[in-house]
Amino acid sequence: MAQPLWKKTYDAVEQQVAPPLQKAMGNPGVIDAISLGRAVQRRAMDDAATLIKRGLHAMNLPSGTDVRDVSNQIAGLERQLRLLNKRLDEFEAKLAALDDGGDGR
Amino acid sequence: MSDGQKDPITRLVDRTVTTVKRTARGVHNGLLHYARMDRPPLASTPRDTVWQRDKVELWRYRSDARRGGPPLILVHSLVNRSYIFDLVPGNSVVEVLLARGVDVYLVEWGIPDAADAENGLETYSDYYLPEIVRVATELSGAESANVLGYCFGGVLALLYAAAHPDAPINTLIALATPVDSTKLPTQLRAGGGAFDPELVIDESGNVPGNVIGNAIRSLTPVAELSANVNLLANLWNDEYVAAHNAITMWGNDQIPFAGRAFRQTVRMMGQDNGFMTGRLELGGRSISLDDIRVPFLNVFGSKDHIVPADATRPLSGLLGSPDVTDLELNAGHVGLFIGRTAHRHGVPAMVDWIDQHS
Repeated sequence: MAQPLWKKTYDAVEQQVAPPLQKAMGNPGVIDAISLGRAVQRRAMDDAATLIKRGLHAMNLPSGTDVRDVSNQIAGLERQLRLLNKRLDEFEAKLAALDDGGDGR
Repeated sequence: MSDGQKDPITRLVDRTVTTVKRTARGVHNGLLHYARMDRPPLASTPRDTVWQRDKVELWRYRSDARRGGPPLILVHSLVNRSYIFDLVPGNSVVEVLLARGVDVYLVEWGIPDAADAENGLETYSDYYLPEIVRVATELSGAESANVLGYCFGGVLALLYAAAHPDAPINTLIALATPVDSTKLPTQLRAGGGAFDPELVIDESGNVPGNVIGNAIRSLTPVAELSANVNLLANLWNDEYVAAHNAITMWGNDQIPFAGRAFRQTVRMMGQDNGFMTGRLELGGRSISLDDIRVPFLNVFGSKDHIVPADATRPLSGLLGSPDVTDLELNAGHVGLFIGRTAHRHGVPAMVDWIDQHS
């Protein structure tokens, strides 16, 4: 079945528009602009979060940053637990090697 | 009676009936799509979790047709979901491999959160992968395994193989694995020059999935719109809609990249172009691709716009292995192993190569 006219029109426009747009997006200038935009956005969000945090703390309420700090602390604990597990595995492996090499003596 | 032999009125009636049927099917599929009731059954091939550590799991796919010999371990990238290997029934590379009698394992890295922010490349290539290969070979009763890495999974597999020359690897297969970062699109160069990785690392210590997704989408800015326009034109076609949904879901399903591993990648690939210059290190020690001596297959797509062939082709010349094969397929990044053409030609060619070396 033949393609509808609207689809043919879209394809024709896309063929003209896509390549230059693709080239423009790969331009280092565009990448720099996006990076700068991201840095500005991050700074603005940090400033807003500080203001909100002050307001919430004045009312003795926890802020989003407090929740994030707690979750990062939990993540830190999980990492320590993983490290302990890893050490335990290594220790058990060494013990097993000693048992094998010791001929039961 | 062929269409040409029918009289004009019958032809007109036939065409009208077809149009009405397609329109009705299109409206039905369109409503299902709008209501998000057409989600495909992803990753549905039966499997068992045979090993787990932290968030990492090793899955073994069930099969009654395993031929024995070295199993195949699929190592996925860190930035998107592993179900691309087992997309939907009828469009799954795992299905194709099982049908060929391959004993298939898949490494599921899990979705990183703050607890994984300190995972470095050595966590994956020096800690998890050696254990995974040991477990898979043991469970399969084999002496060694075939290791296949896809995209960044290939980078992890290469680092593992280079750092462990005595590892029980039978063959190593790299699919769309970038090694020359100067040939990658600007958006994915992992910071050639003065890029500061801290700009994209969030409060959890990781790079959010949407940052990676946006970088990939920016390579083809109108692709998403075109995909939706094509969907609209093919809404009547159930098979097309199912394939579109599965691929689109996966394409938009990026996961966070562990922060420490990201910083290391920016330095190793973006700034040092380490694979090409030989400046590679893992866990604080220098490693060399020259130490990879096992048979090696380098698979890349001539239409890959994410990891162009030029970024992956040099790999074959960097290894110490005397048995190196290049397989260039007329496919894109995902089309290397997804879709009818891949299942009829590309994937069987890879399995044939593995068979010749097993």
